[in-house]
Amino acid sequence: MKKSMLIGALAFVIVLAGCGSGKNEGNASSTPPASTTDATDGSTPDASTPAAPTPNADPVSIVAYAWPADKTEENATLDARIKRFEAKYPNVTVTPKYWKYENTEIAIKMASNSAQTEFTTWATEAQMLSSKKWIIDLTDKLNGWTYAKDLNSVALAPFIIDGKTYGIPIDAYGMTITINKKLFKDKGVELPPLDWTWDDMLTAAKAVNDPAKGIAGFVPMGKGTESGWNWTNFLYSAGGEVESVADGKVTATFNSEAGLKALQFYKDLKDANVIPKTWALGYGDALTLFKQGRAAMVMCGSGNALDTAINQGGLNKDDLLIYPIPSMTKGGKHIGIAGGNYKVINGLATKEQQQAAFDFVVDEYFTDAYLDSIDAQITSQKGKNQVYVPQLINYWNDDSEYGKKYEAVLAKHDNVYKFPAELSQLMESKKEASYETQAYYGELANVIQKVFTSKGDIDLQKILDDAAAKIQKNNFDKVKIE
Amino acid sequence: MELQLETPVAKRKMARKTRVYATGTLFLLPAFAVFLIFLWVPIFKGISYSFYNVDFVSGNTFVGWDNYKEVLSNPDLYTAIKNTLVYMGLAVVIGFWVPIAMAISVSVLKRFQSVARIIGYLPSIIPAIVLYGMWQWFYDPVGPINSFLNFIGLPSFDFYSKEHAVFSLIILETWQNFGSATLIYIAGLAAIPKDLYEAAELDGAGVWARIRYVTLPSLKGLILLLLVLQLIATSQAFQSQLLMFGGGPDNATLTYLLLTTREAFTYINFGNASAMGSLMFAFLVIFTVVTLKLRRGGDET
Repeated sequence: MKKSMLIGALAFVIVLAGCGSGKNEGNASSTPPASTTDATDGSTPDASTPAAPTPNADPVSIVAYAWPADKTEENATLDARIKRFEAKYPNVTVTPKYWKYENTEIAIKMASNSAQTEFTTWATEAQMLSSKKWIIDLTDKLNGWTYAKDLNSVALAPFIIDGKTYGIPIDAYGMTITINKKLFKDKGVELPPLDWTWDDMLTAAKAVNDPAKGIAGFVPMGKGTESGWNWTNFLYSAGGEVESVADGKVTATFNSEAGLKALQFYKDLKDANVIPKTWALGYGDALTLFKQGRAAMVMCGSGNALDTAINQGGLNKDDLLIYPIPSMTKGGKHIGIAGGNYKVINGLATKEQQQAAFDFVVDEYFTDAYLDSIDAQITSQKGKNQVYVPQLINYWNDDSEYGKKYEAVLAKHDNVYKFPAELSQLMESKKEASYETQAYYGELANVIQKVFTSKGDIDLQKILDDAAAKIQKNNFDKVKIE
Repeated sequence: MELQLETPVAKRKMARKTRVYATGTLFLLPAFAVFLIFLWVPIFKGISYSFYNVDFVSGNTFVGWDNYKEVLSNPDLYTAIKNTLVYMGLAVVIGFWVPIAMAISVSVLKRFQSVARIIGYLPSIIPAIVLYGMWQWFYDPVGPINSFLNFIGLPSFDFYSKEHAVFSLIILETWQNFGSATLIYIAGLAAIPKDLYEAAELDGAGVWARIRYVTLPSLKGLILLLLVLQLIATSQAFQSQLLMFGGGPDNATLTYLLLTTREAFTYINFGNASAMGSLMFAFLVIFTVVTLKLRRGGDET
């Protein structure tokens, strides 16, 4: 009897605890995001809880987006920048904290309010982060900033949603294909022309392929959302679209004729046996195969594969080349996905913290201090026998005064990778899909895996139609466009 | 009057009892607090989230059974359930007997017993990130396994194909996990009285007969326990599926928990993920109760 009463009491307490916490959740979240109660826990070490006498001098603590501990050079640059900023804004304390943006971790970081006050994110995330109010609208802040008009409009575009700007570009990229020239030379294979087509790519991949040695002609990503991201470049270069938006409704369009052609190309690559049998390659796996010299061609954002291959894999910079995404037919467009890194401000921080974080982010935009820090980084990389791989697109316009100053800094050094001038003329970069992009990429992973692992003939159109129907029902039909 | 006389005595007795009881209860508080914060609250929050559209900034909205309806209408759910059941079954068929066989062979070793035990346990201490890198290399078309097959004149084995992917994972998991189960079985074997074996030998029982009629029946309780534990563990498998194949090819290694993780962290839909978690929780509670009932029934007979 006593026992059952005890158990009863225990159950009651648990239920109460469950309900209690549920209620708290509701209360906390129904308050406006900028309330002080939200921001004082978690991310801010010395929060500004003790009231200060004058509003202007209120101490504010913000958390800055730091590099991982082994990036000593970059962290030293950040620390120096924080010092300069704190000297200028004595009431602001900036604490660097490391957490690298991951789309699979951001929800937890927001739930626990432990993301930095300002953090770096990718072009794909704009729609999701802004619709969940995890980042703030920066339009007003940008209007009050001298250099806002000098920002590169191409780089800025993905973060402008319904006329509001949610992020500040750091750099941007267009998708490219990186080639290991040495593997071509070793097999006596001629390099394809820079203005290449799908057929050129397939021919080159067949010629350089050497499965007995474990060398694949081309390594497409086949695991995770990145596999859909890779394939979408071929969809784009065939003239296709992921989705169309009309009358407040999102419709899947990747099962078009262009989509079929792009998928047929993947099937051709598979049938020619030029891709690895170990299809389950994520972004890191594909780049690892490339830097190990086991892939003749790999696809990623501008010079990232090149950077990894030279600075981590120890490959010679003269053995590597960057090509645009091949055009479907001769003379066609070399369209690839555009992406990039952006600075955003945490929607859970207080108004004061958000302002301080904005000031911190733009503090050294378009200044000589930033160029000096790049200069120092290149010098330090030279000391380590490394090569600085610049971004293809920056936050400034290349032909602006600032762009020329940047070029001058690069010209001073001999350990800077130089992209061929023809490349940027050929490349055409296209914005990623805006709605449910990760869900689309994830569903496409299944489509691609079907192609990579099926034997014999498969109905490619049906596979695409099925995927389109599924994503339409599960994701696109639920999108609410404001 | 009598009542008045009696009460103080009774009170003192009661007070002493309560005091002793209260001090004892105090010792339970830390454990209670830890369980409450890290176990019960998350469980109940998880269940309550499954009825909400979870939004950390704008606030949760109650949606009733919508999350459950959505989860149950997702065709991937049934693929995931099927895959999980196949994985659980194959893991029993391929992997379950390995530690038993290993423990028996180690225990009959005359020398190098402790060395064999350490070697058997080594795979369990390899960090996950190294482990998956290693197996990716093992399963590579030019990796050691396929090189060996080619060397002896056999064709290469495609560990990454849709048909073989689950099998590849079970080999990996068995290799990594058999060590700890082996240790438990070795301990179980040490507890079997020696005279049982002597008696069996006197009756003319060979090695196989001794294993069949002495060792295995003596280990019965332990085998059943480890079977239940393995079933629970494999029903929640997702780590190797995620890291080796990302749930592919074409959802062939998509397990229930991997689908839940995908809902929560790739599609950021915590309501659906909580609903899936609650369904799993309910299933495991029923499974555990049924197993306990069955075991109790078995013991009585």
